[in-house]
This record gives sequence, C-alpha cells and structure tokens, in this order.
Amino acid sequence: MHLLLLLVVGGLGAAVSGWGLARGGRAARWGAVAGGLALLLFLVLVLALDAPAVAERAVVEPGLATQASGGLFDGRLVPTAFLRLTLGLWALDAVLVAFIAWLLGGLAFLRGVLPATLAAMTGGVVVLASADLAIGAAAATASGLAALVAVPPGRGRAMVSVAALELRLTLAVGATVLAVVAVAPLTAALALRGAGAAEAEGSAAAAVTAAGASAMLGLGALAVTLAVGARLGAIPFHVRFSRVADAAAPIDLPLLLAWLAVPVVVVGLAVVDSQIAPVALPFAGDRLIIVAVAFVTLVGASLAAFFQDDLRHATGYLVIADGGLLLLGFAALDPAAWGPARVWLVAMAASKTALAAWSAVAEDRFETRSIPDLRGWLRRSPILAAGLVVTVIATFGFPGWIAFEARGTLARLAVDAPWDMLLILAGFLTLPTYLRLLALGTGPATSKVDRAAPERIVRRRGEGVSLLKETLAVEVEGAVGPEGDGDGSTVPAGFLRMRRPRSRAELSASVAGGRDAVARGRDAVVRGLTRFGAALRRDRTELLAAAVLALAVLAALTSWGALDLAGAAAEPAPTVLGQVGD
Amino acid sequence: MTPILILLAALVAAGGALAVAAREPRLAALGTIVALVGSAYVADPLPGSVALGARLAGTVLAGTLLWIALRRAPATLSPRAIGLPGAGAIAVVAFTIGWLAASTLGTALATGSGDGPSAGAVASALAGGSLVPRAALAAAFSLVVVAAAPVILARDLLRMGLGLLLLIAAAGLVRNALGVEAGAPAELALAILVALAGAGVAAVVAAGLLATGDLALRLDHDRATAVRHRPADEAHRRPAR
Repeated sequence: MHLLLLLVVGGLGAAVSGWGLARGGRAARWGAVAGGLALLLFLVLVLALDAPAVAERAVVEPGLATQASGGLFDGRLVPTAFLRLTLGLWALDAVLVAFIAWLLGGLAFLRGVLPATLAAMTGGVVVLASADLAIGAAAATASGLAALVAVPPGRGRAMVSVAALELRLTLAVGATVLAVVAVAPLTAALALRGAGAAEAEGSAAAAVTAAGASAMLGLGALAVTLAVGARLGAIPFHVRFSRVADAAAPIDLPLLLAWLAVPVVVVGLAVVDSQIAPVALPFAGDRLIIVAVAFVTLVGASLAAFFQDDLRHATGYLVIADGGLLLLGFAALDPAAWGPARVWLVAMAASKTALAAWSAVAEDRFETRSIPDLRGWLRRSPILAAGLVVTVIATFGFPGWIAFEARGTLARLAVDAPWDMLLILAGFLTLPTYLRLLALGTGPATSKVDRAAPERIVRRRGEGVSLLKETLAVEVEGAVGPEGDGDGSTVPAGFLRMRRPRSRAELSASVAGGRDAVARGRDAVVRGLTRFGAALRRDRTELLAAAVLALAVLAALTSWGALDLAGAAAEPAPTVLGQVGD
Repeated sequence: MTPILILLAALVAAGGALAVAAREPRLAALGTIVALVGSAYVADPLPGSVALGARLAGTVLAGTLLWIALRRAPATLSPRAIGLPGAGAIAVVAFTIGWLAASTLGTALATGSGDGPSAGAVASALAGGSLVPRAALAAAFSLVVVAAAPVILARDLLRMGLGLLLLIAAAGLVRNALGVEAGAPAELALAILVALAGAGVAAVVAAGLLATGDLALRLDHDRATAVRHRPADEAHRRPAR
C-alpha cells in the first residue's frame, strides 16, 4: 500500500506539475506548487517506508518476498532498505535542486526538472522494488524517458535532435536489456547442461552446444554492460554528453547525467548478478573488453575533463569518468561486486549532483561557462568554494569510507594484481581537474568574477526584517477588514462576518462578505508567498551557494556510509531472491 | 491455432518492413502498429486475457499518439536506398534465418541431456517442438534486422522512432518465444512501456515537424555556445591599478 502511495504521489505530481508548468501563467505557479508538494510528500513517504532488509525477510519467509508486507502485485514489487535509502537521497537532492532551479530561473527552469525528476523517481520506485527482472527492465526504460521531459523537444531544432538521441539511447538500451533478460536463463541452462554432458559422455556435439551457449551468455553480459555504459556515457558513447550539456538548462544536468542512469544500472547489475555470474563461467574475452572500455573511459574522460575549457563539458566528463568505475562492477562477473557497485552508484549520483549544481550556480553567478574566465572565483565565493571542496571529498572519500573502499574492491574484483592498482590509480585521475578548478579560483579575479554579485547577504537600510516577519506582515495586512465597523478599527474582517445575521438582507450580505473574506484571505496568502519568494530571491546568491553546500554535505555523508548504505546496497535485490526462490 | 499464429508472425515481420521502407508516413506508422499489436499474440501458450488486453491498450495508445503526431507530416518521406521491395526481401531472409536458428535451438533443447538446470523449463514450448516460438523468434530476428539501419544511422526522426518501437516489439517476441513466465504485472509493465515509448516518439516527431517542417534529424546543431579551448591569458585580466 505504501508503495502504491509512492507511485500515485510521484506519478500525479509529475503529471500535474508537467501540465501546469507547460501551460504557463497562473497554471504554471500552481503546477510548481503541486510539484513541490508532491516532491516533499514523496520524500516523507520514502523515509517512512517500512522496509526491513530483504535478507531478514527471506529468513522469516523462505518463500520470499511474495508474502512481504507492503508488497504489490503478489510480491512482485516489494520495498527494500536500498530503495528507501536511494530514493530518500534522490528526493532530498531533488528538493535542493528544484530550489536551486527556482532561484536560478524561476518557473521557466522548473518546467523541465521538476516533472522529469518526479517521473524518473516514480520509475525508480518500480525498478528498485521489482522482484521480476522484466518489470525492472521495463520500468528502467520508462524512467529513462523522463529525459524527454527534462529536454523537451518542442524548444527548437537543437532540442529536437538532443531529445531524439536521448530517445534512441533509452529505448535501444531498454530493448537490449529486455532481450538479455529473456535469453540469459536459456543460454545459462544450455551451457551448464552441455558442459555436464560433454564431461560425462564425452559428446562432441554437447561440447559444441556448451561452447555456443557460453559464448551467447558472454555476449549477453557484454551487451548489458555496453548498454549500461552507453547510458553512463562511457567512451565511445560519450559524444552525447556534450550535446546534452549544450542544449539543456544547466540545472537539468544533475538529473540527466547522474540520476537517470541509476535505474538502468541497478537492473543491469541485477541481470548480471542473478543470471550470468552464478553460472561461474570464465568469460575471459568479454571481461577483458569490459575492463578495456572501463580503463579507456577512466583515463580518456579524466584527460578530457582536465583540458576542457567549457565548464559544462568538463562537468560532463567528470561524470563519465566516475561512471567508468561502475563498469568494473560488471567486469567482475562476481556476486561479490554487487554491493560495492551499488554503493558506488549511489555515491556517484550524489556527488555528481553536487558537482553539476555547483557548475550551474557558478555559471549563473559569473555569467560564463568558460573555465579561464572563472579565475579568482574562490575568493569571491567562499561558501560555493566550500561546496566544491566537500564535493571533492565526497567523490574520493577517505580510507574507511564506503565509497573509497568500493573503488578498491571493484578494481580488485575486475582484474588480478598488479593490474588492479592501475585501475585504482586511473580512478583518481579526475583529481587534477578538481584541483585545477580550485587553484584557478585563488588567482587574480577576471572582470566577470569581479562584477559578480557578492555572496554575502547585504541589506539596505530599512530592509532588516526577517523573512517570516515580512510574510506575516503581509498576511495580517490582507486579513484586516478595511471597512471594519465604520469606526476605523482593525479587527479582522473574517471575525466580523461570524456574527449572527439579523435579517435576510443581512444574511445575503453576510454570505457575500464571507466570499469576500475568503477571496481576501486567498489574495493575502498569494501576496505573502510572492513577497516571501521575492525576499528569497533577494538573498539568492548566498542561498544558492548554501544549497550547493548542502548537496555536497549530503554527498559526503553518502560517501562516508551514513544510515548503513553499505549494508543496504549489499543485500540481495528482490529480483535475485526471486530467482533463487524459483 | 498454430497456423494462424505463424501467419501473424509473418504479418509482424511484414509490418516491420513496411514501417522502415514505406514512403507515406502514416503507412509506415500503420506497419509499426501492426507489428506491435501482433507481437503480443505470437506466443504459446497465449497469455491471459488481462495481459493481452493491457498490451493491446498500450499499443493502441501508442499508435493513436503517433497517428496524431503525423497530422502535419509531409505527404512522402525521403526515399530509402533499398525501397519497399528491398526491405521486404531483407525481412523474408531474416525471418528464414531466424526460423532456422530457432529450429536448431529447439533441437538442441530437445535432444540435450546431462546435469544442470532444465532448459526445457525455460523454453518448454520451443523444446516441445511447437512452431509458434520458432515463428516468434523468426519475427523477432526479422524486426531487429530491418530496424537496425534506421536506428543506427538515424537520419529520419520518424523512421528512427518507428525502428525503436520495432526493437521493443522484438524484445517482447523473444520473451514469448522463450516462454518466459511473465504474468499480468510484467505484461502490464511492457504495455506501459510501449505506450510511453509511443508517446516519446510522437512527441519528438511532432516537435521536429513544428521546428523544421520536415522529419530530417539534423545532428549538426549550433554548438556556438560551447566554449572552445583558448589560452588562459586570453581571459579577462584584472586591469592594473
């Protein structure tokens, strides 16, 4: 029931906010309010989700999640601890990103990111709760289509081509994963049976069947990995990131580059972990190809990020490089890689959200996306600088932090020593880019940095009232009956209308007055909200930096392992248990 | 029932060829709709009525949106090098190859022995010698082959979108052929995916028609906004005081 509520809130929120924001005017305002409320409600519902660890549930109910509380469709969708943590973090990030988007560009910037995030999170609920790989794959594909909401094709020629490419990527990846989900059990069974027959009877035909099935299974693993790699922008699928970065609004990038990949990666890992890894065939050639793609991605994207002068493109390449580490989880073809890969996935999404938000805010603040033009930015923006520093910490972590340990584990599981050290080192190649951004910020300020708005809140004389006071003042002002009782008193009009009417005429007047009071009250609320918004916008520079810092702190907590993320990530997915149960 | 389902599989393959090669946009859309509708039914045993109803509803919704999006479409699409006869020939050859491959797989499943999990439990109909899963695999192979070029080369928004829908249909056919026990929720998920995918294709096609008046996919978009590499000292220096 709880899951159903999440789906309803997310789906309705996406539909209403998307419809309202697309219409503009008053509908856009109400659409934004509805979307914001849906986002907050979604966050509360996710955090309140009753989701015991799947392993615990399996002990209690060996027949598995089919009987689990909170499940839908006869247990085909069940809440898990990983779902609660991942979607809770996603929703928290989304609230902050929506706030940043509103401060940066008002309702126009919310038009893409708010409904798209809600739609993607709704799909994410299904993916993370799914005990059926086909449902998971279909939902991951559907949630990927949220990119079309974030990059609406109706905004000109460039957007049409970007949206078309996003559509192609999403549906091609989805079709590939769906096909592999169907084929993998058959090929796995054929490979094992053929190998058994060849060994027992010495049959050459059985050996050929086993070899063919094994090769097919390896190709299946490769296809899923490359499909996930394409979504993550791994080299050679990286070109799309630059196009998206150029066409989309910068605040859409956290969703487009970081979070939209999460559902499909989770399903891909589940396919490999439940259908291919248990067969325990060597797949040496396929693993080598995956490791090569991961290594080239790690090195190539890190170098590209370092030499890029475009802030958005550099951000995109930093995301791609971190995505390369995820491919190592596929290259391992080992159930032991399940936990670290999912840990790194969530930590990456959180830290790259903070990075993309930092990039969007810096671009807005200094009115440039040229990195050389940002020289001196750090001196003028200490809170924003703190946000970037914490983001760097969240990206790399410290020894003992789950994200740091996940890097090493994934590399060790993918290749043997000493090559694992090479992969670990390649994973740190993005560090110089972050150092470049920080070092650049300490130099003499460019004219663009010089003329940017200061980060501190500066109030002019007479403006020194708190936001709350301003809002309340407006509400009281709106509730006061200007006519009163004719004696100039300022008793609230609503109170006066509560007197008992003495005649029919007075009764109709009373009803009309009641309507007036309601209208006045509504206007007062709207005016109050408007002034509250105006007050927030006045302090936008500092608030934007603070929101980026909050995102970075969230990412650092994730990277550290708050709320036992490592435990939740390591627990078997409902899909995996479903396979065992069958 | 089997001959009808085999004919339906052939119709699905023909719909795929029509979708990627027809000169008239709505004829191409019709081919896709036929392939999408038919792909849900080429299965042995047939899914339940709820599942089939859900798939039909999803496909009809996708087709309707696509149909509406093509209101402003030009009368004819840009010609393809292979044309309708060529696409038909490719579909027939791919269908035949798929059929032969499925027959080989069925034989391997039926004659195989030894230890290990039962593959027959995964693809019982195929192992049992039923012709319907063979036809489903053949149709799936045919759809993938005819859809590959418009999806990979992607020069036309409509053909690319229709090709993507054909790939989704092909994935569904593979599931049917291998007898994966789906159940109503999985079929519902696939139906929703087809509807959303159709809506996505329709949105992109409509936006393309609105923006440029044709269906060409132009990837040489204006990238003047991107910052090109330049030496750091070219940046605005702070004036000396």
